Amino acid sequence: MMWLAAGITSIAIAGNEVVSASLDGKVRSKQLIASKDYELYAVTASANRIAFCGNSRDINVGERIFKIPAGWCLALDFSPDGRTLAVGTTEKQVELFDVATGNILRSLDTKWSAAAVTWSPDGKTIATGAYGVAIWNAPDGSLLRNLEAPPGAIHAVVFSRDGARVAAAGPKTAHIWNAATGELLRKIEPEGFVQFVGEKSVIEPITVPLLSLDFSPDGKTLATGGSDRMVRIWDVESGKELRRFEGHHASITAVRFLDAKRLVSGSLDGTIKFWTLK
Amino acid sequence: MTEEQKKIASLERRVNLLILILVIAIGAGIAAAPKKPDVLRVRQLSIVDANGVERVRLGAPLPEPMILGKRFHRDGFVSGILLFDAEGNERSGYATSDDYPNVIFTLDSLATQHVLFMAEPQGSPTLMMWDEKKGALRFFVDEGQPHIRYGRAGEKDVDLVPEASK
Repeated sequence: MMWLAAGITSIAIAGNEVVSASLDGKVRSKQLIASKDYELYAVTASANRIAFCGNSRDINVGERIFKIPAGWCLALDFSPDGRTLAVGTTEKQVELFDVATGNILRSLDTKWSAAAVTWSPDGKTIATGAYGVAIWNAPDGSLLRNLEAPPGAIHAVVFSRDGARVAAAGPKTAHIWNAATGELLRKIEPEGFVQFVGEKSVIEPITVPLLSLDFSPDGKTLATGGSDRMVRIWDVESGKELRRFEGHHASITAVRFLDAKRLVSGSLDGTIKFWTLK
Repeated sequence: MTEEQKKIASLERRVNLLILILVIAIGAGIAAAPKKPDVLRVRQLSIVDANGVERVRLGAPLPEPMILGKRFHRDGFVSGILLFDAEGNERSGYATSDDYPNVIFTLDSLATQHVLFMAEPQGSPTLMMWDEKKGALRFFVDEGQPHIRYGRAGEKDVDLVPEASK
């Protein structure tokens, strides 16, 4: 079994399909979409195309390839109108590509490897996660504000569907801010994690990194996934854990709500799992 | 000597000649055979577990660090040995750097480095430990003087220099 070699690092929702990128260089939905000879770390979808990238300067956008100037790609996200692609790189930059031409429009200086990037739903701002979280003005690339972020490397950032809130996943906590003001609204700190010892799992009061998160469509709950191998659902208002799902056998690198009642998760165990909220 | 005896004698000579040729050929073959190598010269050696996950890498240079499903940049080239956990995350290294002349040994969590044991080329060994809340403890020896330094988040570091023995 070579589960890690096919470990899923990212998922995207393309129409009605879940698309995954994995360390074996494959992009898959129900069938194989693409295959590369390098590790893939990110996939995203717009209305009419997908983009993916990984341990290469190549950014695969539909059938075309854009190039980042140096290093490799850690994260990417299409603007809501699909006309701009934000690419987080190891070179402490987020590059904004014009999808029509493949040219770089602007570069955002994140000062550390940009492992997370996401657009606000209105397309006016971009949130980046590096060693901190920053909000940028998309039209001119200016820095709007740095947020009071969880200490350490940020693995994921996401806006709520209405754009009112932005959340980030860090080494121990998820933080939720007011997207307009930058005010910290909530810290979510998982209380107990599972430490895996052989076939048995033992609850230990340790903390391990959160790697992914997503707001529910109504913005009232937040799903997180991380190295504890659990999908957890949190009440945004109170910060209390509402529910948890177990079943993955390695770190959860991606969680996405499909609708109010269903969510999907991807893991380094090479599987995608669908969960139903009742 | 009869004709038959002559033929037998001729055959015996031929057989003896063939044996001689065979012995020489085997001897020459043994002498020419390559010696069994006692040194393996490779740039990298990767050891994987039963799940195919890389757990140990010896290399010159070592690969960029894999952390939670993504590979990040390492500051400069290092050569030595790395240990990885069951998910392939880099957790420890014992290496020398192309850019810095120190030899280092590190122990890492999933988020960051927590232990660094280091020797500089001219001496001055250091052992440092710190946690995610920025508590830190450092032992080092410099200019003949042993030091213990500790620090807490938000506070100035405190140096403890043991009194000289009388």
